[in-house]
Amino acid sequence: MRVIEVTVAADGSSRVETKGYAGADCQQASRFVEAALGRRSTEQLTADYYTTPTTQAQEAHQ
Amino acid sequence: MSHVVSIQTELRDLQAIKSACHRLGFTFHENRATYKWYGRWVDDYHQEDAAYRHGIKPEDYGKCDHAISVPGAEYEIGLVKHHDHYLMVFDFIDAKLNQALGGQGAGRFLQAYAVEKAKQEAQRHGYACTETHLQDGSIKLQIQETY
Repeated sequence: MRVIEVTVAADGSSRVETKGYAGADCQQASRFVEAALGRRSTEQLTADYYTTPTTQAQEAHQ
Repeated sequence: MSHVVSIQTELRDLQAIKSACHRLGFTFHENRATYKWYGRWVDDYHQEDAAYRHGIKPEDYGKCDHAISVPGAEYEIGLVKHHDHYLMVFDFIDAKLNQALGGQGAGRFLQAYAVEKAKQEAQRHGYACTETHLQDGSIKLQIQETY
């Protein structure tokens, strides 16, 4: 299940996290929220970022 | 998890500012050119968040593009246009104002704005959005595509 989570702290700063997206889709998916809220201060790419949706198709062709 | 970004909230959207005011029970005064404060600069505050350190000259204290008033507070908040967003300018000596805003950093207002802005954007893009209040005072929004 693909979800964009926005957690807004009591000091007004926000944390935007994508869950369930693979590869670079995650950055594209949440961009509209990030850009709307303000200025990006940090970014962290997690393990899921480095998988691609086409991996299974590539393995089948081999 | 695939991607985590930290954002410093900036007040860019007037409609979301109005929604935040409504959410908190504040009154938004559109196009009001002045806000109530002590009335005279006494050159006593020089911290990093002092208005003059952010491009607002002391002779312009009390002037704004829009104003916000808070129930029970004597002083008001001025919204001053600064590049692509608004700065909140206010005299925090008013304890009721300070408390309503969540301190000098106006955290409570910025939180309300960010929540309203994110919900607005989710709706505009056709996404569903649910809101949950966490024990530490944070608010979590879950935004999902609707099929």
